[in-house]
Amino acid sequence: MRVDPRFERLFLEEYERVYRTVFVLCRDRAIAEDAVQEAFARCLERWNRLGDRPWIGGWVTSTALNLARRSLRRRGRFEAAPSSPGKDVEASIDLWAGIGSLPRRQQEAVLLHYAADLPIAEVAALMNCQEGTVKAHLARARESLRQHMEGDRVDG
Amino acid sequence: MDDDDLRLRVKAALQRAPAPGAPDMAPVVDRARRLRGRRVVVAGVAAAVAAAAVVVPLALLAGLGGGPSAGSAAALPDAVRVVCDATGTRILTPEARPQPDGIHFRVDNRTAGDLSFQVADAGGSTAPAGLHEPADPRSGGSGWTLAPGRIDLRCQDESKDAGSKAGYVSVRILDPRGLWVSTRLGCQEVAGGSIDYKPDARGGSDPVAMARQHFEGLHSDDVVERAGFPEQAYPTVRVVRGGQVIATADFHSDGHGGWLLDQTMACVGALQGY
Repeated sequence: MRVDPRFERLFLEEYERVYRTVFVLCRDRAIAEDAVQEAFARCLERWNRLGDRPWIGGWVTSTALNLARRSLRRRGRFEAAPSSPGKDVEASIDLWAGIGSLPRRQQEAVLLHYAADLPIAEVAALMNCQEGTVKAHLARARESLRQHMEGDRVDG
Repeated sequence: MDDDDLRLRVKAALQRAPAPGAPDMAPVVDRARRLRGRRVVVAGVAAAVAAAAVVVPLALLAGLGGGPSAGSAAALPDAVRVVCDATGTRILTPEARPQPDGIHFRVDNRTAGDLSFQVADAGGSTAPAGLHEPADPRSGGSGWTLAPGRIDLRCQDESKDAGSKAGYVSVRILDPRGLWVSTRLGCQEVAGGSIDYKPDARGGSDPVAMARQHFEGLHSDDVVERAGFPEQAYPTVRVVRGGQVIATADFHSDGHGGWLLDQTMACVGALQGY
């Protein structure tokens, strides 16, 4: 299979960012790596149709997130292991857990907008909805995450 | 939490996520080639077992590698109990049986840190090798969809020995109640596909009917039925022809109580489009 140099560039430039975004969702190296590889493979397989789109990195991210989510569902419940690994890491785990508990559409909007750095318009295109809907998802997600993190502090 | 605050927190979390290995495009190209060709060859252990299925009555496949031990079936534990400590991974239940939703693991992490829990797929089930799950002493977890038989597993401290393939121990999963219905295809050359959906796609309620509708070229005496474990979280349907499994369909949830056809596998030439 001949690989378009533009795909190669996309792969090298975006791989780590997509991987880290997916890892935040699943917190599992094997699942993240598998999902990211599969997403790039699907992108390459559809390159004639996708290659010219401006949000191709977002498409790969969105696909990888869906694949990782699917793997998590197949493999059963995924819980954070209890630990005290330090304040910074604790804060990250807390945020990851909060993002993981969001409804799927809110979760997707948060990861595509804040982790993958896609503008609202591109997130809306990927999620097949209006920009206003994305903004509403993000606003609800921020409120849920605020409550999640404040609640954990009170409980903890 | 405002927009900028969340952005900063997410960015910080991303930076603290472990870095991936160096990007390697070769496996991506391989996968893309397979997707394009929609054709893979079942290799190694799975192929050998598939060949055996030709001469083994299908009913026996439910307990393949895990036939009931006379007198001991009732005493078999319902979960695999695993202890992870400084010496490595120990199994307290060398034999166990599945529950209706799959195989359960109870992991007692006696180390001070976090560990990952990995199951290497030794039996050619639908799950790929190298599954991970946090070693959490509290969790029995929901069932894992793995074929009964020998299962290799380990706890691993990824911060110390990432990439190591050592330290696996084995447990034998017996299936005295015949819960598992095999999903192993009875052929060596297999074609597969996966289906993408719009984010808000809604699924159907009857996976068997949906599989029957999806697979074209079914014979009148083909049996289309649920497979895997009877109460597994996400249904699998198989097509049996002449005593052999010729196709499988995996489903995932649409988030609203319906099922969406996810991935399909079929013996090459057995059904239209495969």
